[in-house]
Formats: sequence, structure tokens, C-alpha cells
Amino acid sequence: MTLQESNPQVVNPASELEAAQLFEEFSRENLKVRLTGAGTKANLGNPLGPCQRLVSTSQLTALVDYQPEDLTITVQVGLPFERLQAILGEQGQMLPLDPPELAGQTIGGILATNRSGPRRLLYGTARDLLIGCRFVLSDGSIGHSGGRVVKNVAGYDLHKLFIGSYGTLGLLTEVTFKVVPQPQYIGVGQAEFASVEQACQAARLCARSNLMPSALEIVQEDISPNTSCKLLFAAEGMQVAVDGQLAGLSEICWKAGAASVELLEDGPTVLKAQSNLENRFNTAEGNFLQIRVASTLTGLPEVHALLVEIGRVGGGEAQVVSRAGSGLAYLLAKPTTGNLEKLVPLIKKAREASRVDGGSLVIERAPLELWPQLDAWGEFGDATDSMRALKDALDPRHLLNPDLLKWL
Amino acid sequence: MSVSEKEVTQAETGARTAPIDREKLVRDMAAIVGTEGVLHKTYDLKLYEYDGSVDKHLPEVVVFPRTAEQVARIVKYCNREQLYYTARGAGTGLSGGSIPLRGGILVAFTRMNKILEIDAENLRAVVEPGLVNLHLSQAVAPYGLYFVPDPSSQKACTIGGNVAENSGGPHTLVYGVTTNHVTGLEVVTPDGEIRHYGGKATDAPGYDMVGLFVGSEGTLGLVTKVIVKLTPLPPAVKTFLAIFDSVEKCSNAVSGIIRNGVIPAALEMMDNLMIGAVEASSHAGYPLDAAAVLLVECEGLPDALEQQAETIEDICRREGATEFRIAKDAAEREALWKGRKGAFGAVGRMSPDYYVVDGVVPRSKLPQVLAAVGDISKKYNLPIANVFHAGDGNLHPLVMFDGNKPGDLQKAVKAGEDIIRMCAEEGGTLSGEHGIGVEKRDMMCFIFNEDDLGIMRRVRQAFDTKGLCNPEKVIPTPGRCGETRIATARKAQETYEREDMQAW
Repeated sequence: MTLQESNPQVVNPASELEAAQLFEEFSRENLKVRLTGAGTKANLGNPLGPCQRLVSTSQLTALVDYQPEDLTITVQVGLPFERLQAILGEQGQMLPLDPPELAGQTIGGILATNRSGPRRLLYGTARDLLIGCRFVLSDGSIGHSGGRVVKNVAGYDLHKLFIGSYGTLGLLTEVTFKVVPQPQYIGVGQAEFASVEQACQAARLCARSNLMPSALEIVQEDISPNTSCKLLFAAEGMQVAVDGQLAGLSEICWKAGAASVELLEDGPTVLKAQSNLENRFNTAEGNFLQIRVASTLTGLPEVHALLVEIGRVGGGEAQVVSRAGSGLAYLLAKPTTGNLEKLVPLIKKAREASRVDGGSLVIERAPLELWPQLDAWGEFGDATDSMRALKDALDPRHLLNPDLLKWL
Repeated sequence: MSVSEKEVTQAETGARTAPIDREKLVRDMAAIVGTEGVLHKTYDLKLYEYDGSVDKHLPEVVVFPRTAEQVARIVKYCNREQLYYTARGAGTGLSGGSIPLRGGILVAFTRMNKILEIDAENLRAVVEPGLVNLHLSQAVAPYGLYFVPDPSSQKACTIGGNVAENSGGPHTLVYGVTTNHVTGLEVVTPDGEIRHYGGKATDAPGYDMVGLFVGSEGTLGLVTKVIVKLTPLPPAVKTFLAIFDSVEKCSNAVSGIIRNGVIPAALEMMDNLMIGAVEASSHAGYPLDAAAVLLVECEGLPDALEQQAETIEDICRREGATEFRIAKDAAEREALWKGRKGAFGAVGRMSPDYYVVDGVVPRSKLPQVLAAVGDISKKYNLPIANVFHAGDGNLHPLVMFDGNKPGDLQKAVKAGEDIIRMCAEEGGTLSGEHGIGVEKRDMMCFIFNEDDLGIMRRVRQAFDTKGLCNPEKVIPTPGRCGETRIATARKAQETYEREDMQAW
């Protein structure tokens, strides 16, 4: 555990009602509350401020309702993600979210941190899949939004607000997803490119084609200068369709100047490895640095290069991956301690550069020494006061997960 | 509403109680948007008192801003002068979202209708809110792209309206509705500030303000710029009709298709009454003797398309489809869609008046729900035609009535309410795409309790601190939920006479 925190008293409500009663009590006593699921993502983002209570969803693990014929499922948020996928898998269905696998991680944790993976290009992210929720606010009031049908415009989409809110607005208790049939077939191809620019160009052409790739990943395992990189492209669905899609995507890569293009065996395993890139590192180790940049597709080569620079200056093991159809780039690195100070201005520079067209740079994990000098999120421009108004409306005394979203 | 009740609510919302000086208001608005950007004569205002729903109310003035700065000045003025304001696009909405129910200023976005940027490489376009939905897809077609949400009012409705209502359309089954295709917004908040949420990039840290604003029906602020996702046009399309001799078999086929997981790009159902109306006006070739048809469209690579179509045909035949007709060419396909998209108007030619109901049920409940709609039709002795997005479980029963017959309208409204109540009881919802607006505001308690609504009020007040932004919409006044709104719906008969609103 890398977090500095007080020693909060742990409570495990067994029902939504019990959670609400606890929250009401905490609110009366003005106690700061930390929310947690399995705790697998506790080291994401800014270090948490001191809390007097820790509310765990470990007992909120029920399968509430599953209607395979309607492709919808409702579960409590403490249900482990793998368990959810296993339940759906028995009916040949899945929740098409492919975040990094972490043993025991809960649905609630994945939603609170808005985790996603390479296949988001085809299926979208949690905001595209969550169709309703129940929640408890810090004052103990219980509410719900959305429902259990796939199309619904009744009332505000409050469930979208909880996604990526890091537990700062309330405790999700129950969530409903639309799910999809498992694809009959997943195929993956790989193209070698001389430069990231060239690979990004190819990825843009793939994304703009009508071939519906399900993932486009640029992987740069060796970040020393002038090394080549590879573009992974995937398609999924009926095999006859996938074969056609992969053929088309291969052709685009050739035309874009690929040095080689090949189809890989065992597509699902390749994609899973891409989901799990961060798991190659021990993310709980003190010197781990993980940065995510969101950009436009055309802005990606620049931010990719800036992340490579941070990795190089850091000196240790480093990898840069771009989710090139979705405009995301990740740096996973283990900078040597002596180089940490040098990284601060570089990260700030990259953050500045990323801040165009709604882009952003988020420091997901960082060595403790860096936190006093860097905020995980950066600034939000003129949207900040709207977000603060929301926070004030739903958690007026700022009791939940203090300091996680510092700018509030 | 009694006078005392009105006073109480106004005091709560911070709206003015002093009379409005119309001449001054018009002058002040002209100073912001120019004299040619203000309408104030009763004759002109009458054109802006209604939308595609049954309610109406006159604004004090209609203003036509051209820039976000002008919108911000209008909103600041409203704050200073304690005036209500309501945004309006093309006025095709079906739940009264753009009706200025308390008068005040109607901000019409008709002149903010430009495409500011087509960024094909990034699959984005930046547009003004008054842009007509179809004009966007037409403009990006040369790049091989389109904007997915396609409400059948798309020839008229605006992107801003789509954002407000979180609009759908028949082709949103696989790709999602408006909220899934908007990545950024520029908004004038109710305190008159210009704010930017999201952008061309996704995954902005912090709260998903775009997700909250889309579908908030103009109650949290006025949208002045929209960044939309563009999607590559499909390589090939195949459109066909599956014909059934019973509604039940047809709805079973829908369940079968969804369960099987071969989800087509569109899956629309029409019953016999609807087929008759559509065929009479469109001559698209819908079979008049069928009890129900499914209009199915598959998209993809040619080989895969064949296989998907075959699977769907198998399922339909297994569930008792009597015939399967494939659109031979683009012209036939277009005729089928023209018929489908003109369905509401077609009913207008058959019945003096009709009331469009929008409800959603879990897809597996379609057979029993459609049977229940038939029972409701018998109960009120009013014909109900069905045309809807079957793949989403999104019903659009059209209750036919004659507004000139005493009591008919009340019966139609009651029938509609029965249908919505049933949708709620079957685990569904009040609206799939037409919005809550004022039409269904007092039905919100069918699915939300007072605590839920209280939290939504908190969110609304966080933005609209003075209660001036699109008043009386979406969230019911505490204690008033569940009242049937016959009084306002009395005007329904005028809807049809007015024009052929073909939104769905």
C-alpha cells in the first residue's frame, strides 16, 4: 500500500439500506469516508486524504437480475468482474469491457475508475454499456437513474456521472448493463512500421475504413531512438466477416508502408495481453509510473513521442502503447529514482501539449515523491465550476474519497 | 393551476412577479441580436407556441442568436430581469420540451445552423446546434461518413434538439443513440457563462458533463456547439421484409433474433393497421393482408451480410413468417424506408387525430405487451396502430381518435397513459426517445420515487439556481406526480391540423 492514510474503521454494509443508514450516520458526524471494492485500484490517481471510515462493497455481491433474452444484466457493484463474465459466459454472452485483469476487482471499481481496454474501439466504454444504476449519496439518500431497458430517456442520466468519478459523488450499489453475444471469432493481425507516425497513419486509415476493426494498438516495446513499432489490428464477429475485415485491414497497412504484415494465431490471447500490459509491471511497487493521454487520432503521434521521451529520461524499463483508434496513449515505466526530478517538467510539458481538442494527460500511478509536485488530473479548464457545482449538490460536505479529485 | 399555486412556484423559482414591459424587452433583445433577430408580434409568436406535442404556450419574444456570446448575453439578461427562457431547435419534439410553458424568452437556434468543421481524419464534426440532422450526414457523405442517430424527423430536426432529447431513430440499434455519438459540447450555463465539456478527444478526467447534458431536455443550460462522432458508412446494406400472419409470431421473431445475437442495423415492426396507413400514402409495396411485418436492415461486408440475412430469415420462418421479400435495389429500399419514416403522417391521413405514445419494454416482453395494447384499444374503443423500433423494445402505438367527438380526446390520453403505465409495470420505461418534457412529467413517478426525483432536482438546481431555464419540464413538482394532464392535452386535436409532424 503506497497510500498514506489514517486508520479508518471498516464497515461492510450487507444491503443498500444499511449503506444508506451508515452514510446518514457518518454525515451527521461529519466523518470522511473512503469507498472501496476489492482495493485493486487503490493506488490510482492522487493519494487519498485521511478518512475516518472505510465503506467496502464486499458484501454487495448479488446477481440481481439477468435476462439473457433481453441482453441485460443487473448486479450489485461488489460482484467481482470475473464472476460477472462467468455468469454471462454460461449463456454465450459477455460485458464487452476488457480492462486490465486484476484478481478480485469489482464491477464498482471498474466503473468508478472508468477502466477500459483495446476492444473499446468496437464496443465503447462503460458509458456506452451502463444503462441504469442505484446509488447512495453521502447524506444517506438513495436514488436511481436509468433502468433495465436498452433505450431510455426518462430523467437525467445520473449513472454516467458515477463513471470515472472515483467514488466522489456517491456509492453505486446496483448497476444494469446491456451485454452482447460473445463473438464467434476474433482475429488479429500485426504490421511492422518504421515509425510511430507511419503506424498512426495506418491506424487512422483503418479507423476510417468501413472494416470496423475492434482494436488498433500501436506497441513500442523498445523506446530507444529509431526503433520500429508494430500495429496490431483486430476484428471480431462471424468468421466469414472477420476474414474479410482482416484482409482489408492488412491491405491498408501494406499501402501505408508496412515492412511486414501477418495474421497472428490465437487472437483472443493477443488482445488479452494488450488489456493486461500494466500487469507486466508490479504496479504496486513504489517506482511505477503510469500515464494516460487522451488525444485526437491526428494528435497521437506527438503525444506518443512525448511519452517515449519521458520513458527514456526516466532511464528504467518503459513501454509506450497507443490505442490508436481511440486516441489514447499509455506510458508504463519504472524510472530510476535519481531521474524522478527530471521527469516533472517533462510531464508538465506533455500535459500542456495534450491539452488541445479536449485532450488530457492523467497520471494514473506515480512514485510517491512525485505527487506533491503533480496532480493526477491536471486542470479542467472552464468545466471545473460545473463539476464543482455537481459535487456540491451530491456530496455537499465533501465527505467522500477526499482529495482524490483535488481540484474540487 | 390556481393563482395562489402559481405564485408559490414563481417565488420558489426566483422569476419576476412584476409585469414585463414588452417594448423594453424587445428593444433590449434587439440590442443583443439585432432587430431582425427578434419576433414579438402575436401573429409571429403564434408560430412558436407549439412543437410536435399537444401542449402550447406563447413566449413573450422569440430571439434568434447567431453566436454563443449572444446566447450568453440573453441568459444573463434573463437572470437580471428574472425572466424564464427556453431553447428551441426546429420544434419537432414530441413531448413539449421546447414550449415556453411560462412564457419568457424563446431562444430559437435556427440561425446557428453552420457546420463549423468536418474533421474526417479524427471522425469528428463540430456543428452549431441549429444544424438540421440530415444536413450533417449529407455533408459528410463525400468522406464516406455519417452521423448515426436518424430520427424520422431528420429532414427537419436539429442536432441541438437531438442533444437535448438524446434522440434515437431506427438505425441506433447497434450503434447507439445521440449520447453515444457526442464527445463535446459548448454550453451557456444558466448563470450565463460559456463552458466547454469534453472535446474531440474522449476520456476527459472529471465528471462526464457531456453524458449529463445529453438528454437533459434543455433544463441545465443552452447548447451552443456540438462535437459529434462520425461513423464510416457501411460497405453494403441489405433490406428486407418478413411477413407474418399474426402479431404474436412477429414479436416472437424479434425476441428470437435478439436472443440469437445476430443483431441487425435496424429491426422495425408494423402491424396491419399501420401497414394499411403506410401503404395508402407511400405505395412502397407493404403487404396489405399481413398481420404484421418486420422491416430488417443488415449492414456489413457482402459475404457476412448474406450469412446474417440467412440466419434472420431462418429465425423468422421458424417463428412462422409466411413470406420474405428482399429489396432488389436502392429504389425499393428507399421506398420501404420512406413508408416507415412517414408512418405518423400516414396515420394522420386515416384518422382525424392521433396521439403518439412512446414507451419501452424489455424485448422479451413484446408479445404480451402488444397483446395488452390490443386490449387497451378495445377498452377505450379506439383503434391503435403500432409501428416501432422492435429491436430496442421501443413501442410507438398511435392512438387514433376524433377530437370533435366529445370525450374522444380524453379517452385517447387515458389509453396512452394506460400503455405507459403498463410499460413501466413490465420493467420498461416512460420514453425511449421522445423525452419527458411536459407530456410525461407527471408520469415520472411511475418509475421514480420522490427520493429519486429529489436528487434530480438537486442536480438541476446545481446549474439552474434561479429556476428560469426551461421551467416546468421533466421533473414534476413535489406531490403533483401522477395527475393526468387532460387539460393541456385538450389541444391535441390541433396538432394534426397544423402540419404533418413526422418525427418519431
